Amino acid sequence: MQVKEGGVLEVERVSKQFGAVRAVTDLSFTAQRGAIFGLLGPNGAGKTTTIRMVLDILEPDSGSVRWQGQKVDATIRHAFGYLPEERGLYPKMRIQDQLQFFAVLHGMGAAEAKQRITDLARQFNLVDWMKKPPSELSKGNQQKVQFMAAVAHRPPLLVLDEPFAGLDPINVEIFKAAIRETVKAGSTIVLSSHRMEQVEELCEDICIIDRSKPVVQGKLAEIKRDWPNRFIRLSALPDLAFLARFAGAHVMPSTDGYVHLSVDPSVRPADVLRAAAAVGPIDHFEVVEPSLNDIYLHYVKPEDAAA
Amino acid sequence: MNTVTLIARREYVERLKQRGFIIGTVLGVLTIVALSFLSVIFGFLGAVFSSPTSIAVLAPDVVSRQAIQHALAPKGSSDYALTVLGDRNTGRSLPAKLAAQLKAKKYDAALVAYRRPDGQLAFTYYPHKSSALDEADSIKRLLQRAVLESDSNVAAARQLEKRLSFGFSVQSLNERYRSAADEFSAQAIVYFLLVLMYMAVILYGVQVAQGVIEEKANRVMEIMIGAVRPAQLLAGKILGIGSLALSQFVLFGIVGLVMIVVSAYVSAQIAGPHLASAAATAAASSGQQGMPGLNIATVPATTWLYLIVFFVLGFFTYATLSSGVGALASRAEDVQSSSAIYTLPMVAAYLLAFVALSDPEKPLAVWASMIPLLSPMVMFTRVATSTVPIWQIGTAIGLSLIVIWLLTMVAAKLYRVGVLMYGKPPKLKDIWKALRSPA
Repeated sequence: MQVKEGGVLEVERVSKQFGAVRAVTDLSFTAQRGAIFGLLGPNGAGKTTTIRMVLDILEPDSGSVRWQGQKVDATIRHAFGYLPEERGLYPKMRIQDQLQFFAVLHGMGAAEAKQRITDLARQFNLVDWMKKPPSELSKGNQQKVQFMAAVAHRPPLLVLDEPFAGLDPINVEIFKAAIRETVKAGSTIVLSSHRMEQVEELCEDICIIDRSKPVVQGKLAEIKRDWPNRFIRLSALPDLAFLARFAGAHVMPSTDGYVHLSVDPSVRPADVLRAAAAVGPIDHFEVVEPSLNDIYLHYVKPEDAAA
Repeated sequence: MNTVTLIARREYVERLKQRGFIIGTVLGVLTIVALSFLSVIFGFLGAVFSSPTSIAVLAPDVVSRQAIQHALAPKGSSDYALTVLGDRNTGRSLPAKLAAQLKAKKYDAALVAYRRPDGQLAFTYYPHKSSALDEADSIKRLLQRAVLESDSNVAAARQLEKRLSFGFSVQSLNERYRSAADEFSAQAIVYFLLVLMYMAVILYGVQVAQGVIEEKANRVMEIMIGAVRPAQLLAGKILGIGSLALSQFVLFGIVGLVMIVVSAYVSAQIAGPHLASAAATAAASSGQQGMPGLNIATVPATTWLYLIVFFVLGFFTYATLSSGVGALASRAEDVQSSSAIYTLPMVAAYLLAFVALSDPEKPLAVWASMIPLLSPMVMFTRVATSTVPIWQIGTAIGLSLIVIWLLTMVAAKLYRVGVLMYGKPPKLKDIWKALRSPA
């Protein structure tokens, strides 16, 4: 498949306030063509509000959302694809008819839509279900249909709000493959999720927002490279007193039988290995990049996550 | 295909397939069929047991008097009770004394027979009761015989010609209405159509509100609002549900008309031509024997045209209003509380339509017939029962169209507020803000 026109989404200094509540404050990001942009943050941080401003459902109080340099309006957003967090399908309408309806509604030709939906049904193993209404489908399959509805018309911009929620591991793989394929075809994707592993796998650029404000953003690889701490994983040792010599070193909780260390970037891992080998036998020693999960937990304070 | 048509088509097709709709339509058709057969039975019983139409007769001479009596009330027939008041009548006019007696309901009708200057026998029929008006045709038919018998002195060669064209005119005694022929029928049919319109607008109007809420409840509008403008969405819904409503009513109408023909035919088979016409008249009425005849054939074509125009206007005015209610409500229960927004003007229009029915020229009725929301029912009542200046009709239609457009715009704005605030009903302040923002 090929998207007619991929493009760049630019969100520039948007803010939105509901009464006294600040939903989004001074948020900027750019989602590139053929790339997946990850929007992360705890519940209530402003992700959905941001998505709604991107889709022109909400008008930002200040700032602008541009697609290919043009302000997003009804004509432009008409072609966008959206997988809402609150899934919505007509419960009694046959899936085939429903997908056809949404695709044509988004501007696709009827014959093209029919072919495309047949292909998608095969890809998602839903061929036998196409003549049934969503109310007869399992939750996972309903979600597949929802995803198909979002991508059927080959949107140049695809916005996915929590696409993996409630999926089993096999379906997560199917979804990931479909998302990658969409990107390869030239779509720009904005993905909001709580599932760090998936975001880490899929997204090149991320933005974490907390309490309406962006707390960290940029290329995931660069964020990891510039991370202030260095993580080391090594075999369990009887005595860890030697760590006191290294700047910023402390042991992090773990359950995998290894010792997880966090040290200052100035510390050379080779020195740590040598000191550890002097204490006991070392079967395993590795320098680990911070996971997105670590980064997330570092920036988003637990009390916020609970709020 | 454009967006509005696409949405309208989906609404139409999906609702058409719903079990509730199919059952409702089948039940509706069955009810119409059952009612019309009931009316055949009632018409038959009515013709058998009803009291004869009492007619006061004025004849010009003894020969014609006997001929009339023989034609209208032969031995063994009880359709007409004739009272001969004289056989020296000269003119076609109704004597004042007899007119007063008719008004006092002493007779149902008067038949004034007279000789034209050329000696030919002619009649003027003065029905007072509407059922007597319905008898005009069969009286004319029966009088053919009287003409032939009384004019036996005229050359036989002219008999055939006379049979086809003897003088017979009907003079209704109620002057309020445009013409005598549709005197009662107009009122009855307007009443019947008003009830129909009221039901249709209430039933289908509510469906528009529910359709809008449904999409909020199942969250489909999250996708919809990205793909289409709220005004397109609402317009599509209203058009789709409106077309479905019209289709269903047209179907009921066709079944009704077929049943009128069928029941007239059935009556003819079981009871002979005279009863058949009585039964056909009864079949066209609501089916109750107590209700005087409602002869659909006497309703002028313009009334049907106006019915369609004002039905469509009425439906769309209330449907857009209803979509606004749906846009504000977040759950089906909320519709109940805000449904007064459209039921109140609906009831007001219904009541004002009755004011117009009793007197189409009453200033209250004239004004109400031009005010949107009220005009579909009130103006329809006026045009069906009296002659209305064309500018008033134009004003009513024009204002209704403007209000439909305005209401759609307002509903579309409210829809945006409603979408973003599901869970809690929007505050007045939010509504006001939404109305001032561009659509």
